[in-house]
This record gives sequence, C-alpha cells and structure tokens, in this order.
Amino acid sequence: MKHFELSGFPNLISEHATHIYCPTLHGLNGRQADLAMVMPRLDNNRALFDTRPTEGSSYAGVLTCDPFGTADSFLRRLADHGYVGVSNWPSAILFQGHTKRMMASMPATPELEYAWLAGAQRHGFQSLAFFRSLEQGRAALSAGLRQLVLHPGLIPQTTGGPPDLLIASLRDLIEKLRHQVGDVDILLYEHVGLNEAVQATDVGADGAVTFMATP
Amino acid sequence: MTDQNNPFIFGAAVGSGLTALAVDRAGADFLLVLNAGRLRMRGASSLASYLPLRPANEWVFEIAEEEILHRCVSPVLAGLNVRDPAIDPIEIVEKAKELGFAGVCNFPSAAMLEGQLRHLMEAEGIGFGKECELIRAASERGMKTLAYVCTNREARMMLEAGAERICVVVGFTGGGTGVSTSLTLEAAADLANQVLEGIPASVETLIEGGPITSPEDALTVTRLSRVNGYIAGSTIDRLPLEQAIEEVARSYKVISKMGRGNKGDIAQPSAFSGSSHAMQTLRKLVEDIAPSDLPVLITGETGTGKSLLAADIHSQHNTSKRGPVVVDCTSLSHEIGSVQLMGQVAGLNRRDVPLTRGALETAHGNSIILEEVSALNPELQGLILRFAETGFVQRIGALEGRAVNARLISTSNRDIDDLVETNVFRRDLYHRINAFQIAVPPLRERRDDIAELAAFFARSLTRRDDVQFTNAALRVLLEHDWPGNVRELKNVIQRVLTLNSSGRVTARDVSFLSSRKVAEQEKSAYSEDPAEPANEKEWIAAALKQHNFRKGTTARYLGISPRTLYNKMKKFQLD
Repeated sequence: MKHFELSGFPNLISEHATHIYCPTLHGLNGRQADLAMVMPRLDNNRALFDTRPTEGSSYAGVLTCDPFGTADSFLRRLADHGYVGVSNWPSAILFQGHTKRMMASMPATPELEYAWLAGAQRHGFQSLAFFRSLEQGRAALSAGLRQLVLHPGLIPQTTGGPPDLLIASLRDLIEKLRHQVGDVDILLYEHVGLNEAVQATDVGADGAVTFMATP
Repeated sequence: MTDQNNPFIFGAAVGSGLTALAVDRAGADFLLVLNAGRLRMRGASSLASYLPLRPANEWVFEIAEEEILHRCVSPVLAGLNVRDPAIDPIEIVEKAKELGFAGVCNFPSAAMLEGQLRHLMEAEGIGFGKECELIRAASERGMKTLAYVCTNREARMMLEAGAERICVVVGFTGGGTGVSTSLTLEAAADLANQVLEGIPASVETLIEGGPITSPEDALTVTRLSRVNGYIAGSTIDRLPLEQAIEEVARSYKVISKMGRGNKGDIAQPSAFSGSSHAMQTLRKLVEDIAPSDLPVLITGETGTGKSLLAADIHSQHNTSKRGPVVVDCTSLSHEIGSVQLMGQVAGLNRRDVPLTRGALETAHGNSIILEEVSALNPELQGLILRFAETGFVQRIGALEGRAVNARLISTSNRDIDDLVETNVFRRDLYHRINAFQIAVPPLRERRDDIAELAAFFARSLTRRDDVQFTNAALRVLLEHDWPGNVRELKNVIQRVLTLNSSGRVTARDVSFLSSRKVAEQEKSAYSEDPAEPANEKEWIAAALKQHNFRKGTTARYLGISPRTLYNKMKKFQLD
C-alpha cells in the first residue's frame, strides 16, 4: 500500500509515508484544507522554496493555475530544491456550479491541472493527481497520469454510522477507472471528516493520502 | 427607480498608485484598494484574488502604504480577507485604521462563492458571517464600511452589522475580461432591487460587475433600480488602460511609418474625439479610406459632425495641400445653382457677364464637399452625375468640357435610401457618390464619449485645462438625449462656461437640460397633438412655432447655426 501525508508543515518526517508539502495548508484543520484554493493567505508556490523539503522524497503541493511565471522555470527550481514529485493541491476539483464556471474562465480547471502535471512528468517528476469525480478521473488518465488520488468530496461535518453508500460509490468509481486503464494506482484521500470510517482498503484503493495538521 | 436628487456615487476598486491617483483626480467618491486591482495590473483576472497567490491583506496594506494612502483626497478603504482561521477581524481592522485607511470592505468575499464550498466555509466559521464581524468591528471604530453582498439575506446581515454602504455584486464583470455573464442590464437592475429589499434608504446602495462595463451602463442600471452608485473595477483600470495602450502603441507604429515615408508630413489630429468603440471603428475606417480618391458619402443626424468628418477626410488625403471646396447644397438656388456648380462663359446672354469658374472646376486637384447632397434638385443632380461619370465640367455656355480631377465627399442628414426609393434622389447618382459610406452615430449612441467631449470643448473654449465637471453634472450630461448631437453639446458647454467661470461645472449649471427634458415629457404627455415630428421639416417647423419664429432662439434650441436654420427654412419653404 502506498501512503502519502499532505501537510502545511515543511519538514514532516515519516518512515511509512511520502510527504506532500503544501505551504498554504499551514494552520488549517482537515476540513479547512479543502478550502485552501479560495484562501488568499500566502503565495503557496513561492513558499515551497522557503525551506528545504525532506531529503530526497518530498512532493510539492502546487497551485498549478498560478497565472504568473512559466511552468518550465518553476519545475527546474523545484528540481533544484530537491522535490521529487508534484501534486495538484490546492485544487479546482472541488468547485461546483457557478463557482466552477466562474473559475474556469480564469482559467482554473482540473483539466488544466492535469495537463500541468503531465508536463511535470516530462520533466522527470513523479505526479499525484487529485480528482473527485469519474469525469475528472478520466481526464487525468487521458492526460497520461497514472497515480491518482480520489477525494471523497466536501464533508462539512463528521458523519456518524457506517457510510456504506459512500464506500460503494467510491469503490464503483475506482473500478470503472481501472477498467479503462489497467496500470493505474488509485489512492484514497482518507478525509478527516469521515473520522476514519472510510479507509483505502474499504474501497479497493492502492493506497492512501492522509492530511496531517500542522504540529 | 433612483431618486434623481441623490447624487450618483462613484467608487473605484484599484490596485496601484497610478490608477488611484487618476481616479482621485477625476473626483471618485471613494477608493477601494483590493488585491484584485493589483492582479489586474499584473495582467491576471480579478478572480485570481481568491487564490493563494499572495497574503491578500498584507499585500493591500503594502500597496496602499507605498502608493496610495496620504496621496489621495478621496477616502481610501481596504479590501480585507477574513477567510483564514488565523485572521482576527478586530485586529485587522485596527491595523487598517492605524495605517490611515478611512474604512474597510469585505473582499474577496465569500458572497461570490456558492454550493458546498460555501456551506463548509460557514460551518468552519470563515465565511460570510466572519465578514460581518469585520464590518461590525470597523463600524464600532468609527470607520467607513462597505459591504459586498449577493443576496437579500447577506444584505440584511450586513445592515445588522452596521454597514453604511452596501454594494450588490451581480457577478464578475463581463465584456472583454473573459468572464461571461448572461445578465442583461435590466436583469441586473431587477436583481439589485431584490437583493436590497427591506434595506432602508439611509444606507447608500451601489452595484458592481456583471453586464455593466461603461458609464452609460451604470447610469442605466441606477435609473432602472434603487441603487445610486457604481463601483468600477476592471472597467476603470484594465479595460480602458488596455485600450489606450493599444491605441498609443498603434500610433507609434503608424507615425514611424510616416516618418520613413516623408519627414515633411505631419499627422493632423482627427476631428473626432471619443474613445467609444463606435468612434474607434469610425476613425479606423476614415484612416483606411482617406488616402484613396474614391467618393465618400457621410450620413448622420444633424449635429453629428459630418462636415468636420468630411474636412478630416480631405486633410488626411495625402495629396491635399489646399482647403477643400465646400458647397452647401441647401443654399443652391434653382436659378443659379448650375452656374455655382459648373461656372459660365463670359458674355453669356449679356455682354457684361464675366467668366465664372464653378465650384467643381475650382476643386480640380482637390476635394469638393457637397454638404447635404440630398437637397440638390433634379437638374443639379444631373450635372453632378455627369461630372462623376465623365470627370468633365462644362461651363454654362461653353462648347466643350474641361477635365477636372476632384474627389467627391458628400454628406446627408436624410435617409438617402428612402429618397432613392421615392425617386427624389437619382439612383445612378447615389451609386456614384457612395463608393464608401460612413454613418456617423448620434451622440446618444456613444454616451461613452460625452464626458471626454465635454472636457475637450471646455478646454478649447476656455483655453484652460483645469475645468472640472462634478459627477452629478456629468450624470446630467449623460442622461440627456442630445437631439442636436455634438453641436448641441458644444453649445451647452459654451453656455455653461459663459455663465460660470469658476472652472467647476456642477449639476446646477446644466440643470436646464433636465428641466427641458421634463418639459418635453410633459408636453408629449399632455399636448393636444402628441405626435412626434415625422421628419426634419416638421421638427424645425415645431421648434419655430414653439419659439414664436425667433430664429436665434430656435437655432440655439435645435443646436444649429442661424445660417443653417435659415437655409433649412428656405429649403423646406418655412419662411
């Protein structure tokens, strides 16, 4: 089982997990982390260079729709700084309805995030693509990405009782994507809002990403 | 509907010293410093203000401290973000006050977000409820407050929090910014009214975004709804700046090309001021067709500046060195019109008749402008047609013609197509003079240009460049329908500046326009004969009757010169 830890803390050290450093998550809890895309609290991408990541294994959580700069020079800097992988977090995958249409005009869409990650792969980075729906998962596969993270969606409150329906739908979604492309690793974002009631093994995922609040 | 006695409030959302100082000089009622303003100046969308690109509040403070605060007369408000658990609304308001901000507003607001994302924000205590805490904290500290809202519930929450100004956001701005909007101005006005239902009149209400992209759009919405002001964001910085920079850059390219061609040539400024899209298109068309020799027909209502445009085309013609020959076709008499056009040989009919060169012959190597060409009688139309077809002019009484090379530029304030259909104007001549047709839009269809033109006339009439128009005065000018078009506007400015030499034009100075409009509305509502004048003849006849046939007063009312009025009376046999 693969295991990643998403955090706003730069030097998270874990023997069992790969660290995804996303500076804008600093000081947020697991539910607030889902809102990071619409919280103008710092320059996420610049902050990636403020401290050295964990030696030789860290991923960078990148705001891929940053309208400034170029991907090529940014990716070169990430490599120089020691990051080995990239992930689309904060992400546009959670936008819905009017907000989704509005942000798409910027443009900030999951499809553009996947295209950016595919470009990073060509630069030698490993990539981890967050997605929330079957449509987004298929778009990530179409872009050539083979390491995906299924986000269960926005969860405002801790749910009580066994979430059988949610487990069934997540399992179904993962199976459909596997049916489309065999050689894909699909991980589950073990959302803190689910209070550990839905884990990667429950939905047949190849691994998990967990959120680690800043110590 | 907006109370006409309430002044129009204009706020500008800015993100740089350049924009802030400019709108401050222009008399904006207040400024908002927003991270969105800075992002626009950097070439990004306003929507990027939501993204974790910079710490929004620190950025706003930095921009304002370095470039805006203490340099502007208008009150400056800080657009503050509270969508962060680490931000304490009271602390951030006190910091803003300490820095010298006059007030605060909630930006970028959760109000513009929706769905589960929004629910989660509110559940986590970092949504709109926290923005209300921000406004309450500012209000309690005696600061100015402006609340961005999208729904009636939000408006009521902000009212309860103590907001003194409420701005209804009807989406991000449409137009050329890349954000699409399906709202019409009418729908935006309806939406604003719904959102503001139950908000007392003591709260100032404004609108921003959606389909409103120009001053006249803003005015239309304030007329259709209860809002009495507008906040401009990308419509005050990015859109006009991009347009202006593009134009100037294009000019540098054009001028440099001219310099390579002939260093003696000096580009004359166009006679047509105005940065509206209509005038930009028109100027481009003129630029394209001026160098050719083909005939041009300029159409448009009276007072739109057809004659000026004709002269402009002549002056832009690369072979023109003399002034054009101008023929006022309304004044060509039936008896001697042919002589005025074609000339005559010496001794024709009488020994003492001298040789006369007609207007066409005089225009050889030059342009001839036929003003109001539709007024030509059939005989004179025939003479012009012959010239247009053959390029020869035969003086009356001469046995042979002379080759004349003159460019025909014609103007008409009448619908020539109609005249052709009714056989009043010859179809063959119409096609001869109409290789290019330019329709000059009436002023009411390019209200964007009114403020610019008013300032231009004020400068040229007073030779001062410090004449200022208050927002309320400009609003009156924008609301007027300008039946006499640019000529009427010029006359109004002349009248105002004659009576008021203070250099500051207020709504009171131009209030006669509003009262004239009311009088006209009342007249049309209660007149025994409410029918609108069907044509120019009836329009002039009605004006003469209204002013007891006093020609000077009537001409001023119509926005035309006494000479033009006299010619038109003669033409329409209204003596």
